Amino acid sequence: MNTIVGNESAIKRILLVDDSPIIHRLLRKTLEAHGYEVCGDAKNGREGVSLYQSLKPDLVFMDITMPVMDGLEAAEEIMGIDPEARIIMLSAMGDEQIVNRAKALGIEDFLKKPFNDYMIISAISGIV
Amino acid sequence: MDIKYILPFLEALKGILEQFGATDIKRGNMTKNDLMHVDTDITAVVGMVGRVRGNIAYSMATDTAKRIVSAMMMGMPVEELNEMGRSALGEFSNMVTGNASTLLSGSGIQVDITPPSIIFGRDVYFIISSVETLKIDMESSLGRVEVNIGLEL
Repeated sequence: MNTIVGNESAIKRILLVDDSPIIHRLLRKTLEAHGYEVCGDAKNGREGVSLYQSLKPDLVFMDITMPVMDGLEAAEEIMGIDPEARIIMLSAMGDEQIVNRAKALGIEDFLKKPFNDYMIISAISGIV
Repeated sequence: MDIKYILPFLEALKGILEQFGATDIKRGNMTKNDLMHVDTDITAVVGMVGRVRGNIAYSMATDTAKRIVSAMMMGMPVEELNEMGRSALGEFSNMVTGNASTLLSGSGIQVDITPPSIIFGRDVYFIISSVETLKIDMESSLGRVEVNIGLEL
């Protein structure tokens, strides 16, 4: 008998990739308040790819401008490893060329910083 | 320096300040310098590459920085600028420059930006590239932010 009730969404465990500790803190606060688990924190794209492989999160929030490896490269690597990966880009950079490049990789959504709780939660709800 | 390269930064800064709840936002003095020189307590610098190259430095007094960080952290009191505070200032400069670059791309000028650096200390000269720099003051309820724009054009 299945007695588990609650969040029916397939998304529970979320990996955060951003070089800025403040973004990790603000995102974690928002996500945890809405019942999601932050399963990992990566500070650049390279760490993000590596944590994606070891943690197998349901969703990744990915910054773009980061040292070592930027978010577009990291998203491309992750999609190459797991074409079913779900990635939401979250960046201060939002010109058309970058948004189109990111969308061509098969990402779920592209959010612009600064963000608020509503933007984050509705983007997750929008994922089928 | 053509105004079309300057306005996106001021517009982006105004927009970000508004989103963090600043009021009474108005542009103050504008001065032209041969080098990028700041004499406030804290400066966040972001590099720009692409069709336009250079550096944008956002400098401010410690109190202003604390008020901005507090606003970014949903009003949480900020007593000192620790690692989280420095990160918030870096992110603030990243948001302003990122949003400005989106506006620039709307005029057909494609640019990319580098991760921000935060510098503590007064009387700092940035001799990164010897380009003419414009310093524009932006006043608001959070305090004064000086925007130093040094672009190779």
